Amino acid sequence: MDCGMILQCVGISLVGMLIAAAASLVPGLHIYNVIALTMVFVFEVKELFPNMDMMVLTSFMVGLVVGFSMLFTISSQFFQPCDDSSRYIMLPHEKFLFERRGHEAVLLSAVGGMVAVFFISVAIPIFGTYFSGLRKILTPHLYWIIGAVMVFLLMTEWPKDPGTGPTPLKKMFDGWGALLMGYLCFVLSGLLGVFTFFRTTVPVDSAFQSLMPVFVGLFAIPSQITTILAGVRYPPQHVAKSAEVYAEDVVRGSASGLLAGSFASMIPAMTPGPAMLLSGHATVTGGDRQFIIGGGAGRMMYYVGALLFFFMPGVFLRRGGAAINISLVFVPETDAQFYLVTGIIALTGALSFLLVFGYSRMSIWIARKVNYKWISALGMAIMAALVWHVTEWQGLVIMTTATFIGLIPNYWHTRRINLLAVLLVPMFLSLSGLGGDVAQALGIF
Amino acid sequence: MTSAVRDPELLSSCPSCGMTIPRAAECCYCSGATSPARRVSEFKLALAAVPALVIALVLLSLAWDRETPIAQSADLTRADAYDHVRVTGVVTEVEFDDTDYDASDVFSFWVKDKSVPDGDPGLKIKVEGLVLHKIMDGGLLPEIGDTVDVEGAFQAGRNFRQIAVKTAGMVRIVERGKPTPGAVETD
Repeated sequence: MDCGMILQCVGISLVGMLIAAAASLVPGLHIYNVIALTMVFVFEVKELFPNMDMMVLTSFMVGLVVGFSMLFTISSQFFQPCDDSSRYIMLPHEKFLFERRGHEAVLLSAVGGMVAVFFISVAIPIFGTYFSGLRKILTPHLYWIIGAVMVFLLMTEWPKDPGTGPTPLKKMFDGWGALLMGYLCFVLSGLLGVFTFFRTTVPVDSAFQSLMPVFVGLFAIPSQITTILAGVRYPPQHVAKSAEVYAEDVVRGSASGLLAGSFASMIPAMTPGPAMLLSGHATVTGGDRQFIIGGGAGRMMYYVGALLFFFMPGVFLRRGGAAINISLVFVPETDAQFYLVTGIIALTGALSFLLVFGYSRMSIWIARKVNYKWISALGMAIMAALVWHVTEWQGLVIMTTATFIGLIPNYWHTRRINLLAVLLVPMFLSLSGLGGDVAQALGIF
Repeated sequence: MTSAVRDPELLSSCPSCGMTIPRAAECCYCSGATSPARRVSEFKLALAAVPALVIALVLLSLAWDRETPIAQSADLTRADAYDHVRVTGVVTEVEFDDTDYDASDVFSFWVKDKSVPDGDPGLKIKVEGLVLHKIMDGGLLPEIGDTVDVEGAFQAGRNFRQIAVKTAGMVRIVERGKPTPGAVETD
C-alpha cells in the first residue's frame, strides 16, 4: 500500500479518536449513535469528494470506535451516579465512586481495555482465521444458543425485596413484583424488537439506523431521566497516583472480558452485558477489580475486535453497528487493508489509553464545577436531536415508546439486561425460522 | 479514633481514596491496599502503551510492504472462488452495457497474461455501478491494448471465470498501449 495513503489513514484515525473523546463527554451517548451521525457526514463527504478513497473515511470510523470504546464509560462513571432509590444493584465501579476512588476504577477499566487492544492487534492477525472455522461450526446452532441465553437471563432474575412485609401476601407481592416486572420488561422489549425488525416505521432513507431510536429510548434516555431526578450526592473524588492491581486480577478479569467480547462478536444479538454475565459465571471471576477490568476488556473486544473481523481476509464478519455502517461505503479486500486497520487499532488504542489519565481528571473537574443533572439534561437533548435528525419524527415516536419500557427497571428494581430482549427475541425468531409466522400472528408483517 | 492514632506519625493518607487513616495494610474506609508494593503507579501503567505503539508500527509497515501476489490467470480455478486475486496483462476486449440506471451499468474487459494461450481473450474483469462511474470520472477506464493491473474477488462456476472489481482503486493502468491484433470492442 502507498505510504501516503497509510499516513492519510493514520492521521484521519487520530481525528476520529479525538472526536470520540469529545463525544464521550456526553453520558449515555452510544458509539453507534455517533456513527449514525457520522454516516450522514460521510455521505456528504462522499458527494463532495467523489475521488476520495473510502479507506480514509473507514480509518476515521475505526479511530472513532477505538477512542469511544476506551473512553465512553468515564463520563457515565462521574456524571451518572447510582441512586439507590432507583437502582437496586450497585455495580463495582459505582461502589468505587462512593468510596472516593472513581479515578482508580477508570484506570482498572482502561487496563482491561489495553489488554484487549494487545489481544486484538496480536492474536487476531495470527489466529483470526480460526474464527472463520468457528463461525461455520456455530452458524447452524445460533438460534438455540440465543434461546439458551434468553432462558439464562430469565432464570437469573431474582426477588429483590428483603421480605419484610407485614403479611405473607404482602411479602409474596413484594417478592414477585420485581420478578414479574423484569419479565414484563423482557416481553415488551421483545415485542418492540419484533416490530423494529419486521415493520419499523423509520423512513426508508434511514432504515439502516432503525435500531438507533430503540436503543436511545431503552437505555440512554431512562438513565438521563433517572439521573436528573436523582437526589444522590457522591463524595469528592481522590485522584489516585497509583492503582491497586494484581497480575491475577488482570489475567482473570481480562480472560473473562475477552471471552465475553469474543462470544458477543460471534453470536448475533449478543452484547457485552449478557456476555459478561455468562462469562463471569463460566470463569468464576471474583472481586470488584476483576469485574471492572473484565468490563473494559469485554467492551473493547466486542466493539473493536468484532469490527476487525470485518476486515479480515477470509472472514469478513459483519457484526455490530460499526461494521454494518462501514459496509455501506467500503468493501474490505486485501491483506494490506487488514494490517492497516489493525495498526490503526493498536495506535489509537495506545493513545486513547494514555488519554484516559487526563480524561478522568478532566471529568472529575467537570463534575465538581457543573451539576451532573445539567450534563444529563444536555445529553438527553443532544440524543433526542440526533434521533430526530437521523430518523425524523417516526424515530422520536419509537424512542418515546422505548423510553417508557426502559424506565421500568429503574422504578421496579429489575435488571436492565432484560431490555436486551429487543435484539435477542427477534434474532432468535428469525434464526429459528419462526420470525415471519410470529410477526404475522402479531399482525405486523 | 484512639489517642494513639491521633499521633501524626501513625497516620497516613490512603493512596486509593485519599482519606486520612491509621497506618495499616488496608484502608479502613475503602479497603484499598496502602503498601506501594501492592500498587502500580500511573507512570508504570502508562508504559503499557509503549509495546502497543511498537506493535502499531510493525503492523503499519506490514501494510506498507504487503501486496497481493500476482496470479497467472490460467491457474485460477473454482477452488479459488471468492478469493481476492490480482492479475496483470494486456486488455484484449472491452464491453460496455449501458442501462437506464447508472447503478446498473456494467463494463467488462478481458485481460490476457503470459499464461493465456493464443486465441483466448483472457480472463474477464467485471466492473459495475458506482465503482465503474468512479473509474470513468477519474478517466481511468481501460482501453484495448492497455497494460493493466487488476485486483478483485475471483468468481468461478461452470464454464465461467471472472474477477469482480469492488473498489475503483483496484483497476490500475500500468501503460496505455495500442490495440492488439484481433482485439474486439463490443457494445
